[in-house]
Amino acid sequence: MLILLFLCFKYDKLLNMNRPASDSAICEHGRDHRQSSRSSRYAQLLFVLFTLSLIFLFRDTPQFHTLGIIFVSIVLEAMPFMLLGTLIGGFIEVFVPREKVTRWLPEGRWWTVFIGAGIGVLFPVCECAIVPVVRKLLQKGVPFSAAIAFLLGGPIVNPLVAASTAVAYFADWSIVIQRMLFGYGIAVGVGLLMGLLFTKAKAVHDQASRAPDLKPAPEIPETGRPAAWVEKIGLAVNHAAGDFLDIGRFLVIGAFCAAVVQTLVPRQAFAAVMGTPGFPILIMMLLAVLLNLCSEADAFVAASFRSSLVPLPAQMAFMVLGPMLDIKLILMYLKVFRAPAIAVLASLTFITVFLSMVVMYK
Amino acid sequence: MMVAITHKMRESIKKRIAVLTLILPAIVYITWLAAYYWLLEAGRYKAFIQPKLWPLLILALILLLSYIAAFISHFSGESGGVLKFEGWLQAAILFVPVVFLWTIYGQSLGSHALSKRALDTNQPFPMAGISPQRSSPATDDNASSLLKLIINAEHFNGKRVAAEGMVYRGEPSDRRRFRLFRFVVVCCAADALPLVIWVESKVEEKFNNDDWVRIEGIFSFETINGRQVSSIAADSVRPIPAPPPGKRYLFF
Repeated sequence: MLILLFLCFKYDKLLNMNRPASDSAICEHGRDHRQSSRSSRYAQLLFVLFTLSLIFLFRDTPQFHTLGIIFVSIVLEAMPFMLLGTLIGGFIEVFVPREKVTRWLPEGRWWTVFIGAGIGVLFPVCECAIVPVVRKLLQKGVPFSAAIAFLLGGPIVNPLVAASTAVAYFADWSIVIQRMLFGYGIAVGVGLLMGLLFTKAKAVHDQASRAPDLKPAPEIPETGRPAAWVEKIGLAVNHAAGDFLDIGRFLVIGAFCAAVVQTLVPRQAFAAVMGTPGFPILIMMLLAVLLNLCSEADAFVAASFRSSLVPLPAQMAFMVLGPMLDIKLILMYLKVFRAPAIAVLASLTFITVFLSMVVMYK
Repeated sequence: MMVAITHKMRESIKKRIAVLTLILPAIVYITWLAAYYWLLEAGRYKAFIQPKLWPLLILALILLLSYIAAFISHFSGESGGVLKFEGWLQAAILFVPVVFLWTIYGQSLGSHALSKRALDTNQPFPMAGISPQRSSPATDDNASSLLKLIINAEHFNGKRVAAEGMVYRGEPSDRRRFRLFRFVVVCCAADALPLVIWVESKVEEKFNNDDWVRIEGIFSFETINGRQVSSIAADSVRPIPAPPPGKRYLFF
């Protein structure tokens, strides 16, 4: 599985496959790109063969039952959000003019990061829906750092997550507020840092990353006629459908990896090292990355660790990092960002969450 | 003559594969549409996700229908004749969960999942300071819900209770002692948390892991390995049939 993941990590180069041949030809390392795309294709093929062979070989074992139920559950729950995210992305693509976006959120302005991190309050989406939306927003000219802030903050700083956290912690509002503040603060911090370290061109795949088999959207004149609107809506949905095919597979692969971890790794193993100083936060962060829980459900799992004497900072780290970084998200990021940017984003997020918890709860 | 026929057949197969490649996205959408419809029909989705989340499934149905409509309205055979491996790979990956769904339906999380999820405690929800009135989560109609027992443990202490769930013996196995467990689901089975009550029976029981039983006895607390756990001193333990897949979990 680790090899499979590694190969999938190299997927960014696969995007070159969607470019016209001339584009590949002008690429300095075109040959490497083709090789990488081939290896990632093999990785995906291997994934299909591996999963299907599991069905044939182990379908009657309890391990397979656990794996299958977790895998299917994650996908079934996440897929509607994913569909919604792609639909929103499709509508952004067709209906939101680039000029308006750049007027509302101009490039190179630091304050856009603060807006990006808080958009989730008005626009509550979970982490599965946010990736296709961010992809379209970036294509529409949203500043890179603001998009990163929305990507990280959106799945935490929103009313649905606040409500589920309140229920899980029996209306302990201090925990709800802390989660929201940490989510917002870390999204802003990482967004600003990423903006300093990367330009959009260096971090984000270019617009040639449109879904395969999808025709470019033809320009429709702004006539205001109902027919034109219907046609536009059809185009938006068509875009969304293409994006779903394109990004959906990463959700599937990520969900499977998460299910493998949940099936094989006992949570007690993590709980056992909680007594070691400094470990609880790190262990809970690792768990958040591996479990791939929905941001609307993770508070319940975090709360369940309360009775195992897991300290609050570690529970908070679990609830803050999980919606920002997990296996399926990393795989989905590959469709939007280049590998170096993902590596830095993941590292920065992990380190910032860890340091925030250590410093704030010292 | 034979060469000509073989060539013709090869061309015909190529053509069919090319057509199939063209309509592959629609096949993916229709497969997922069928899967969500099948899950909604007769409430099968409850074997995987929280019943309250049914609007999500409806949303998925509507969106998939609109994707199919958009695909049909924008369909053109312009790129016909090209076999796209990438498209087949995309579709194959998106089919995997559906294949798993139809393979796994009827099964539920059991003692294997419990052994991986159980912490060194039996309470996923802290009980201190929670009154029975304050915590009255939605559960099944059954009066013997483990969730009710555990959340309202103080209330039931010393009282006669009945509970249903699965058996987990663990190691080493004392035939008179075992754990009764069920999973409580918040959003989906991936976040399922085990609810566990220790059971001490008067006689040696022959139940195995994952057998469904109904326990009747006195509910109390006891200390095991320095931790307070809920337990039932059972005077009756009898086997019951496993509930239908949609009713095996408790829902918070």
